[in-house]
Amino acid sequence: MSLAINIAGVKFENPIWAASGTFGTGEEFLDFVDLDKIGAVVTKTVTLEARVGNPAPRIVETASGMLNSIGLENKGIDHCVKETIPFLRKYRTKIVVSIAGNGLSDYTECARRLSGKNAPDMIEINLSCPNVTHKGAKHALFAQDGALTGEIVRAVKRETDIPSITKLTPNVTDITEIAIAAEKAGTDALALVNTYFGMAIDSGTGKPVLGRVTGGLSGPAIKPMALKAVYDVYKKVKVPIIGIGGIMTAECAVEFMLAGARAIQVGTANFVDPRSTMKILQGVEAHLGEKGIKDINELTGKAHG
Amino acid sequence: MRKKRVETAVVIENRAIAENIFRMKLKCPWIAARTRPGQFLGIKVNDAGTDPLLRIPLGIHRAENGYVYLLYKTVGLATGMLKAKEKGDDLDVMGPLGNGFSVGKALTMGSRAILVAGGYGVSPLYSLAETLMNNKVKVTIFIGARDKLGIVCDKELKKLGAAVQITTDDGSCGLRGCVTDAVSKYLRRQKSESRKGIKVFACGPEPMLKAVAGLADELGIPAEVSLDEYMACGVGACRGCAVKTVNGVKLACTDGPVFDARDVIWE
Repeated sequence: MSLAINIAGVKFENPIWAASGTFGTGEEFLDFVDLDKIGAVVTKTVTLEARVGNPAPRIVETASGMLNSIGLENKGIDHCVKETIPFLRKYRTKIVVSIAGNGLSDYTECARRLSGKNAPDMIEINLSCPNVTHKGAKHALFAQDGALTGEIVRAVKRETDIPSITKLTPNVTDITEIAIAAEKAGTDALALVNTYFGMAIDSGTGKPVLGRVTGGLSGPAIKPMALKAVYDVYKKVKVPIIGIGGIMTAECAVEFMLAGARAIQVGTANFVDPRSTMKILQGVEAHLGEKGIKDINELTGKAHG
Repeated sequence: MRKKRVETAVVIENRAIAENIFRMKLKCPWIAARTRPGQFLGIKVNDAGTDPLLRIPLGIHRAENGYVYLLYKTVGLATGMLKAKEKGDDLDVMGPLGNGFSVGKALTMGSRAILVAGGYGVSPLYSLAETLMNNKVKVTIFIGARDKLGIVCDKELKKLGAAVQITTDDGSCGLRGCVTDAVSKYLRRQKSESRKGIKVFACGPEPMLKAVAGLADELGIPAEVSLDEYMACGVGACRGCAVKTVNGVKLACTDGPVFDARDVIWE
């Protein structure tokens, strides 16, 4: 039985990854997870300069999900290159560094600084964080604008040879248009979806709960919508898709692959059970055994008939 | 070496000790053996569905001989489900989490600790009192609540040998008034010479902690406060439980929940 997958020439031992922003650098999970075993760790998004993030409360639970408005708190790209990547290199997991910025030049500068001696295996271009604002931009998120998405992807591709994944937002009228724009611009893979815009109001105080008023919804509540996004995009693009959105169990992971995902990322589930990635990996392996599937790649897109 | 883990605990006892306040005794030897006063557990109360989804952070009341004790107030869906757990039930707990109170530092034989509790915030202060008294530190604890139904652990603390002062808003138990006013009066009564050996530890609602921090700062007395924040992961990964401090943004789950009161920037 083979669990290995290949994306843009990078060989991953398996398609079960930890999602950005839910796994820290991986170090936070050492007591629970064997970093030699999971396919990849996608780091908490880093920006050119360190950021302090949004005011508290940054987290609130909602029905079968949670809202967050962390606001890209991070120590900056140089810290990532100096500390995070060498730390993760001690393990067999592949390293995907998630980057974000205020504009195109931030993304290219991050990509440039990642392209030295301590380079990651892939870069995830996060164009879809719902909790930051970009001055002068027409849309709240870069990934709401196909042309801008294409521009940033192209610029990053010009800057570095490290293969890239473009992470999309579901907060659009048609996610397939943005996916196609990113593919045309040369992205090596697509990751979808980031969180859905949402908010919570406290009926007692009469005020919004989150410090920044709105946030991004994740968890089981968004799974059916995320699954559809993967299903729809799979029909329109050739590049590999990495499925994200409320994946809690091995069954969820398999469903995303059947919808068209080559790999999946486990996010909110890490908070519920820090061993989720390991459990999902074991469960997916058992599923393949039960179904007599020899190569996990056979699952991808099978729901399309 | 592993510092925390997910352990399947067994419920030994789960009963009301006051109005809406429950005490739970859990058998979880691995965590019990590694717990310091002021640390907490991440408890998955829902083992069947996804609502509630996240673990709830609950301060550890006591840990000894393989058992962990919790005090909790039923305030919503998750604590309601916790209340329904019965003797013999399994409970998925993660811990011990957080830093705990700094019992070793600045407290030597002959020094004094003033503990300030708001309602069931007395929970972690019980084991702190126990540890301090084992180190020959004299302990005075102020417990405040709205009324007598919210006062818990006072008898147990007296039994330990701590001096216990109770305040209630309606005067139904102890002194009438606010716990921080009682602490303020007490500390101001101390001669400046004897204030030097005092350290304050507080756990309770944020306005109370803020008042304690202000008081300690004014009188030049060191103080530690245990903060309660919205939390998701409990291990420092999600950066959800942000606390503004003079040293930048810190996390209640890993840098805290206990902070030096002087470091916290109160909203």
